[in-house]
Amino acid sequence: MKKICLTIATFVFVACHILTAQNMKISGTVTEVGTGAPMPYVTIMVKGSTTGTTSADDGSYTINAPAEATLVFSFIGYIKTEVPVSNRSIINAQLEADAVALEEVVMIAYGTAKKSSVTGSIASVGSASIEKRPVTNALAALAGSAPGIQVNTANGQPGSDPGIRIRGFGSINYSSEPLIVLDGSPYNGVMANINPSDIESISVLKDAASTALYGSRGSNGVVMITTKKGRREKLSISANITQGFSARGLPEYDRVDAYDYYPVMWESLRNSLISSSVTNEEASFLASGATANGIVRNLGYNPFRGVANDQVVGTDGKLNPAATSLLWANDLDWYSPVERVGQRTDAMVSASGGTETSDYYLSVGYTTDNGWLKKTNYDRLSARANLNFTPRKWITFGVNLNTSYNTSSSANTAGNTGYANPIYFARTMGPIYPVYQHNRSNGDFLTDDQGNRIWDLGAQVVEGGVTYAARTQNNGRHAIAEHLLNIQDFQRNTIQSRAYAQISFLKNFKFKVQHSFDITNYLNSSYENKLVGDGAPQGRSRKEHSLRYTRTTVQMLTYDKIAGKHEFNIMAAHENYENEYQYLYGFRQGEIIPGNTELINFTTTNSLYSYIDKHTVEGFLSRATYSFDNGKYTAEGSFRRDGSSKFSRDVRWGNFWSVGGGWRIDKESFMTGQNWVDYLKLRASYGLNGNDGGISYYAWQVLYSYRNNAAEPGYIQDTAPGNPMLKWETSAQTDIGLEFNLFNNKLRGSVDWFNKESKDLIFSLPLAPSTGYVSQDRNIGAVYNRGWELDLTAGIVDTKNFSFSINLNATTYTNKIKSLPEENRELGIIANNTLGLPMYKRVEGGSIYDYWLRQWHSVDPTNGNGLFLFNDITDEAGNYTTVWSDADCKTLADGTLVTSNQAKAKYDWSGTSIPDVFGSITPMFKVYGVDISLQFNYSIGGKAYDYNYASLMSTGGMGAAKHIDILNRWTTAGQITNVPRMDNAQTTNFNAASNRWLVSSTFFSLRNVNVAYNFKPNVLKALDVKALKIYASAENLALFSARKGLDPTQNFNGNILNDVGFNRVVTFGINVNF
Amino acid sequence: MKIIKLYILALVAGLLIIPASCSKDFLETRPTDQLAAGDVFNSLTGAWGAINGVHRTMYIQYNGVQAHGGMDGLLRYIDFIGTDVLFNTSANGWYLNAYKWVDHRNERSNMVLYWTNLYRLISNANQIINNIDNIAGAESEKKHIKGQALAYRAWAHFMLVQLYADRFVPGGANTHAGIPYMEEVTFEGKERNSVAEVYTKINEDISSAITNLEGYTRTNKTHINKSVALAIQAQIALVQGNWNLAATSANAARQGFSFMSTAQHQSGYNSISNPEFMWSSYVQEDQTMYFFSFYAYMSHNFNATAIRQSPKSILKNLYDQISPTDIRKAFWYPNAVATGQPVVPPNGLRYNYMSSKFKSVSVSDGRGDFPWIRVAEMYLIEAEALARQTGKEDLAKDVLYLLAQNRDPQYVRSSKTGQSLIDEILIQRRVELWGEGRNFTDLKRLGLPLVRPEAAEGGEGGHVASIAIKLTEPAGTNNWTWMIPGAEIDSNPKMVQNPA
Repeated sequence: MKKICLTIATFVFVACHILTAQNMKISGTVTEVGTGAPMPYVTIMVKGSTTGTTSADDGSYTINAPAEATLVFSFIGYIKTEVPVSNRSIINAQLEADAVALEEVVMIAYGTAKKSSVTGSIASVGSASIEKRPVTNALAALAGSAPGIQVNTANGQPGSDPGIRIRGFGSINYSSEPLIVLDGSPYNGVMANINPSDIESISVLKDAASTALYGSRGSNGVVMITTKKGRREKLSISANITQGFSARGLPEYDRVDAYDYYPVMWESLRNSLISSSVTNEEASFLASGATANGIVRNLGYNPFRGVANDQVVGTDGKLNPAATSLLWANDLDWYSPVERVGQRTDAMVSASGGTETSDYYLSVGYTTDNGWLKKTNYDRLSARANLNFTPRKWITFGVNLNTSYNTSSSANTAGNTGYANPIYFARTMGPIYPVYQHNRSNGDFLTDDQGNRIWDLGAQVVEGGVTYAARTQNNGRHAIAEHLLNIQDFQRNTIQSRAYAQISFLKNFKFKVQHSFDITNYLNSSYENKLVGDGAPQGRSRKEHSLRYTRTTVQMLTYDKIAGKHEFNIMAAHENYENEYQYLYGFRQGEIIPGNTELINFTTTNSLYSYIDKHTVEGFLSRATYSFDNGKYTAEGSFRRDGSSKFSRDVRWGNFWSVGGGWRIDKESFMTGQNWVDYLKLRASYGLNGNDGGISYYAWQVLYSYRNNAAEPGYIQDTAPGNPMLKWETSAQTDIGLEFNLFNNKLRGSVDWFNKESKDLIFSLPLAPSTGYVSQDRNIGAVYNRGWELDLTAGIVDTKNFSFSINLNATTYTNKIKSLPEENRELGIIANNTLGLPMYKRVEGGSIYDYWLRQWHSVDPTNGNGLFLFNDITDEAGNYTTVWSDADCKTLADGTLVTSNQAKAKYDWSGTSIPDVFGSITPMFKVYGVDISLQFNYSIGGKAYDYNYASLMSTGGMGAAKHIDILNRWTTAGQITNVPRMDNAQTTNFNAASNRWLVSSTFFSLRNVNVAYNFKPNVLKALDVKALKIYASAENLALFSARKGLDPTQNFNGNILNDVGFNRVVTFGINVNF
Repeated sequence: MKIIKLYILALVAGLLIIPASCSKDFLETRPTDQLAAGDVFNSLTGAWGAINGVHRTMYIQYNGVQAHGGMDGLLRYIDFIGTDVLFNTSANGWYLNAYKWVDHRNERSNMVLYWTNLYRLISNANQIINNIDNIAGAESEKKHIKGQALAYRAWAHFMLVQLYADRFVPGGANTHAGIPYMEEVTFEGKERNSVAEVYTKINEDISSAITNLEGYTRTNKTHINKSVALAIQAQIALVQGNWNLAATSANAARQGFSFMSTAQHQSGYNSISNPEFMWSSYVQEDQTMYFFSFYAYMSHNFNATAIRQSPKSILKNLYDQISPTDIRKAFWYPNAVATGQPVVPPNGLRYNYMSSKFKSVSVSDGRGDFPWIRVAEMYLIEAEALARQTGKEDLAKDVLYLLAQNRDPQYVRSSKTGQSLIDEILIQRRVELWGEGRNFTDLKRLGLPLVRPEAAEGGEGGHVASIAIKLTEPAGTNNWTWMIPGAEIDSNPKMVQNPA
């Protein structure tokens, strides 16, 4: 009995124990990785049992499970997550969106597709990535986002569109910019019209299979912007506000100060005075003196306190030791009056949700973005409504409406060395000239009647009977004052509307019509003041007004059928596109009442005209996709027939097509048991598409332009006659890609090989100018861009309180010209750079941006001459075609022929602006609920042509600033250096455009840092909100390049010009969801 | 039920399709700011528009290059590489490399691209010459249009051959390479004609122009009438040493034109109403060339950076040869700095010997009607051509007197003979045409060396070695010939570059 009791007791004890174990109550909240948003309807199962539950609206759940059990959290589209209970009663789980969830839907041309059935190469950037970036223009967020995409750093002008190239340069003379498609229709506007927070995803379609349906406009790739849409669930409100600050991100070049400057310029002057009749000593004497030739007279300003004009630099070339203090030391920084910490504010509220039969997304946003340079800003007010209704099962319709009001002011950086360009001005102003007027003898600021400082325009002044010379550098101009006094503003109002209706019939058919209508009203106002600059002394004002209407209508019929393991999707459509541009320009001068910049307030009309341009495209397109066994094998084909008004009736229709296939290797039976492979897909595509970007709307027509003579009507024939045979450029692209998820999805990525062969390139074929024509557009020439893309994401550590993953992408490609016009085959084509100066040579086998420059050799140690390789080209008789003269040519000890005369220098290949490899590295951390991500961008190889440096290294240029490298100039016989002697008379030679000004464009930058924290559910509950996030984000934090001040990403062609350098932006934000 | 649903479907589908249907000419678009070539040469009105366009090509901005403001930009270059216009500073870079004799020897410089501009004018003229006969309309009107086009073709080729070919040697065979003489509208570049051939064709064209322009009364002086065609013929004959033709043409050309008054003399050489202007531009308010205009570089009053920083001066050696009673002497200010004269734009600099000959319309309006040919030149051509013919020196002195006495009431009829007389005429020519673009071509036609004297120590009015770099150049070197633009060499396999 006792035994029995014991047994029972034991049994009970054990049973109790077991019962307690089985009945452990566990609760917690499920949230989404990244956003921290609570996730309702998540299935939570006890592993190995049938016990389960689902999470509530706020993501919370309760379940009973054994203490040693494992909970399995799953939700469609998210990676299934298992969490051991380990005796905990509270388990908060996080689900991460599955990058390759089988049913994930991606945006493709004219529709959507399941990721598994896509046979093309598409990179997608989601809203989560865009939101990390404090950028006003969403395209800036593409930089580093995926391989195959090159994005310039947007300059310091807020809102500006960065340049984008997808898989290289498919066109040589026309546009290589991708087509932008907004919510299904080609978009002609500026991306800054769209609030980045309204964007759900940006898909970049890279290969022909993805882009062939855009026919004659698709060959440079397509950037598809898809805006947000409501979910058919309860109302959700999201509010976001960020406050940020922008400062100058790109540092200035290192320039010499006043103390170094004077002796250097003395040398430049002295050396220029030496001649057959003037000895070295006499020249030194002249340069030091205060006569017409003295250095002070040549520079105009003597900034040294207590040093007489003829005493500043001695005849030994040394600065007078008494020159120890400056008259206006605190007023030599020309940037300071226009530099600031700019503010950036971004506020946004959106509401979204829906019912069984409708969904809605409504938002209103406001952005004000002020750059580091005063008066550079961008303000945007935008509102969006995206509504979709399904009143009956067979019909759906909707409208997506966006309106924006944009205002912006900018700096006049037109013309690299335009007198009104504040960057050029501040950069090149010699370090002896003050910004404001000073008493020239005691250095005090001069003030006007109101006590304000007065801009120093550099005029000659007479003070106390002494005449002080004018400023040599940019006398009479003051781009800093001009920047502040002038106006360069625009307003842009836009509406983008997308309306559609779709009916389903006969079970498998759908018919859809989408009508897009975009309107852009643009008014640019510019005013040049009466005080200083091009507008002085009368003042002048310009108004530039344009209206752009873009209409696109698509009628589309689709057929979807699943029969067993077979799945068919067939689409046929017709599209009309119409783009009308109306332009009105007025320019008057003679300001009447100060402060009114409207044209009526001016007396004289300099220019007044208007015109209307129109471009139309019609296309018939279709696509068929066949998929077997849930995407194990997929085949796809597409076809488009396009007609464009840019070409003549006889040749305006063209056919574009693509084929592609996908193979899910991981689904094959032979892969069973290979547990380390989660996903493996091989895809290949080939296709043909076109490019008509940048080609004149009337390229085929032979035209005369209106040019009235006096008051009589007159016309002049165009120097580029139209070509009735002209058609678009076509490109044939092959893409082979492998996508994989390995080791339990810990390593995900893709590798792509592409070969984009563009032919029928439209060459603006140079015609002999003696014919009276300059060029004619013809379809000649071919180029290919061939290369590799790699994208890898690795989850390295993933523990409860710390996780670390990293994404790396890299692209490398070769750009090669395959054929050129017959006439240019032998000699190649000399191509101009941005400034219209010859810089590149294009030959078959070379690239679009191969530098062809004078060959700098060295500095002659005997006399400091800059030496170029001598142009040793010979004629048929074996004689040099360039005249050899012992005065400026010599043979070096090693037999090299050199010359100090730039006109006799040899031109040769000097590298390319195209990098060897570029990409980004994006580490992401999660530490105790804090998400940290960094984005590093890099580019290796390629060269930039640094105009800024070249100008700062001039051996003359009285009054112009100098780079500190000038301190290494040649001064004494025998000296070995790479900087020639200072010589104001030799700037044409020593400073000639040459490969000396090329610099490596390799760089490494910390493009973005984002730190975010999502508050825990208990806090959310207390605050009665659904989610709450605080974050900080910084853009353009650091750039490491070959030279301080150099931004190698300024232009794809490698030119480094006086532009407003990028902003460094730091923002702090809070995001709350109800 | 099912049928009703189908009807509804059809109705909806129909509604969806209707707005998208489009007309047949959906893809036919045409510009509104240009017109088709075919619409130009289908009427006399169109042809007048075409010749007016040619007049206008004399003062449009070319190639988007600031220094290419019209053909006056070319004439500016011609003076800047001569001896009589001084650059006082290197602080302003405009035209500095031309002044240094770098740019015209650089096949990639903008300067040599005037080749393109002149041929562009020729091509527009050729369109007219080759199409005009097929247009219905009054023969006389067609002749007047064609005559002007022919005169332009002659003038433009004449400018080209003077600059881009070695010197025409009067009396020589002149078989050396000239320039292609373009008479047709084509996309194919041609080989260079010899200098002799070019001049033969130039002469044919100008003679034909003179015939065609018989009886033509022009609406304004932008047009070419018979007098202008004769004036061009005189210029050509002068270069060729065709003294008799030069004298008779110049004489015929100057008939009907009077001298300007002293007041007009000081008014800035900028108005078509100036009686001495035989042929000039006529720039309307909305045709301004802003900072590309001639007056943005050569005036003293326009608020252009080049004017403020780098006003141009006359060579002291030349200035000193002008009689004090000569009204032209007042153009230049030997003591500009000290006297604070002439007027300059706000913050403008002054240099001694600076010029006030040319004035823009106002300080803020860079316009000015530039004279392509002034009647004074005809007197100078006639005088020089007569002086170079045996037995006509007295006639030469008479003609010279007419001009010189007008400029200087104290002028005494020349008593010089032989070369001294010619020299006097040439000095008059340098003074009279200073800044109007005859300096370099005169040196070249006469086979003279370039001599740019420096000023005495510390003085002004001379070339400054460190600014000019080029102070002398012997006559007849390769450097007198402009390089043909690289663009021509690149795209015309038949073209041969001038020797380096």
